Amino acid sequence: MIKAISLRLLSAVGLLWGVVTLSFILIHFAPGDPISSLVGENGGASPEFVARLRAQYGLDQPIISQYGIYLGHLLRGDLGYSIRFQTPVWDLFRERLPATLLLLVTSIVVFSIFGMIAGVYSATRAGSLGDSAIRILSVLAFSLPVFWFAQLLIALFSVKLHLFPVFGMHSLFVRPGLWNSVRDVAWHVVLPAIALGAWHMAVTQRFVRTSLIQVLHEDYIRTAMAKGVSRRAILMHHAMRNALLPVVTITGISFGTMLTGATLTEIVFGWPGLGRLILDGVLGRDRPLIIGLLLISALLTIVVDALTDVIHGLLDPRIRAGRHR
Amino acid sequence: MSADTAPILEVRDLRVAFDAPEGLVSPVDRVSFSLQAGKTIGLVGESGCGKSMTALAIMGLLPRPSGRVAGGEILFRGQDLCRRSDREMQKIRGNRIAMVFQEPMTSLNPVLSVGEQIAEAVRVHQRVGKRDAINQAVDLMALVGIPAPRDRARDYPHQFSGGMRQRVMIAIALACRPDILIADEPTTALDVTIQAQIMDLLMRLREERQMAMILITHDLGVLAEAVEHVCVMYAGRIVESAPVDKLLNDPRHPYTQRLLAAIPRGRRSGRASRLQEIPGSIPPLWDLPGGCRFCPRLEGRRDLCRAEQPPRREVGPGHFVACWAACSDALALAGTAS
Repeated sequence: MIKAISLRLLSAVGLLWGVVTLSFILIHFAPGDPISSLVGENGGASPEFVARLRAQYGLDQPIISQYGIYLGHLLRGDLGYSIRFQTPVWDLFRERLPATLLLLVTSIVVFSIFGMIAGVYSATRAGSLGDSAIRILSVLAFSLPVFWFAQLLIALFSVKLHLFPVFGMHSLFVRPGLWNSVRDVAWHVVLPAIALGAWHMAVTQRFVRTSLIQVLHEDYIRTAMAKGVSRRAILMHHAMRNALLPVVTITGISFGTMLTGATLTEIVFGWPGLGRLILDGVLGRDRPLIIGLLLISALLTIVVDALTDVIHGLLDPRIRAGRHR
Repeated sequence: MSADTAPILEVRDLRVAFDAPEGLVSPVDRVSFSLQAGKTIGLVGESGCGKSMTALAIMGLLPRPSGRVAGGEILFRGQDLCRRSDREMQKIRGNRIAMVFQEPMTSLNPVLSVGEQIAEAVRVHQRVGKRDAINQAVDLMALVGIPAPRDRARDYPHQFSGGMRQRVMIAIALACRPDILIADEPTTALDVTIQAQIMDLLMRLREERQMAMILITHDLGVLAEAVEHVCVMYAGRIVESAPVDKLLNDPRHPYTQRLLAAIPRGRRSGRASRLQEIPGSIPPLWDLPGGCRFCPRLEGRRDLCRAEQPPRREVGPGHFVACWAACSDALALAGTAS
């Protein structure tokens, strides 16, 4: 067990180092540079001023020493300084990461549950009218681009029906009290969560349906029926636990896509998370910010991947075999 | 078989229908047999002749929605199981009638411990607490010969061998002391050495618990010791049924005769003879021949065999055959036979 965990940590460190190195190289060769986007492209600044700025941010050094300096800082837990925002990158993250995590986690949890319910419904009534309807909706949700779907939601539910806010995470005036602000944030998160989660719900529904139909044909389901177990208990106790295994895998994988989706959703809804930061960072060629963002995405993905494995182990005794005798 | 006691299970003219791509097919066609309490009958025949479908029909486990009982009745203690609701059948399955399946490797749920799976069979039908059920499960594991049952109850199916898994399946089937145990080729998937152990175990438990048993097999070799009465099935029908010694020593139906001839006899007679196979194969269910279904595989068939289904006739005490040739006196009566 300890060996497995340390191997895991080691490979995580290697992966993060790879992400940093690769993004460092790619950004260096990308067109444009942070100083020119800082001072403006139309050349209002004197060459001396530009040169001074370059020296100030260490951009006049050869790439290899820039890389060395960055890695050195990183090892001390310093993510560097955002050129565009004139703030330490870590401060930006600390401010924005919670909003993104709130959106992502809400979306994944809520729409995983909805997707599972829809999947179980269509698997147990395969071929019925309800199943067909769910499958059509599912294909639709699967193929809608996030940014467009988000705008549709705003047009319908915010602009036309005035049910949900158009923008942001907080109302300007909220009555004091924790409960009131929680309610306010919950009210704001509904539409972005739907925009982001619809795709995930569709994926989950399809996987649960396929996987459950397959499991329901297994011999051990027939054994359970031969014992006289009720259909409901067979579904909940015998079938779901087996059917969820591939669904957990796919949720882990779809997390990466959700992260991208979160960026687009946040931009459309003006959600004060990392998404907007990514856009600003790229437009401003803000190298420390971009690398920091990639690093944190990689870290999140690694954590989710590890979580997926833990859940797998909890669900399937064959995977945690090592612990037994 | 004594005729004066009412049978515990009586199958009458059972017909099973399936929706197949080729149309409606009947893997079981007018099958009748009866089982006395505490006795064992064998259902034998090639793969695909309807043995397992008969068993699943009795259990009410025909694959839905394509399969169903299309005719006849299955009387358990005089009550027709085909008319029972789902809920009523749940109370009978695993409780009064239990079943052991052919494939022990895939018949246990991989994510539940073996103890849980046996205890579940207890708890579904009896009002006992979780701890009591587990204790009963451990006792059952000891009964079927699993060593160190208390420790092993916590293990999962993948930690058991095929033979041990089949023992677990038997423990599950016996959990509620059923009146009838259906064993569908319980040893087919196992090593030869293990096969004998499992058969011995089943025979011992049948004796101890006074269960009636339906043993489904395509291995005629096990019949002599294991069963009292045999029904030979071919293409969905019972072609011959007889007390086991009668059937083995005086088979009347050409199919039974050829099945027996196809058993390898080794060199006991001094010289090894070439194994006799039955030419041809079972006809597909959607393309059954008219008249006798076995006839196309025989050389000496007559017009009557082709034209009309042979009736079931008693040729000795408890010995029934459905073949025109086997009951030559029937030929004269052919006009009156339905």
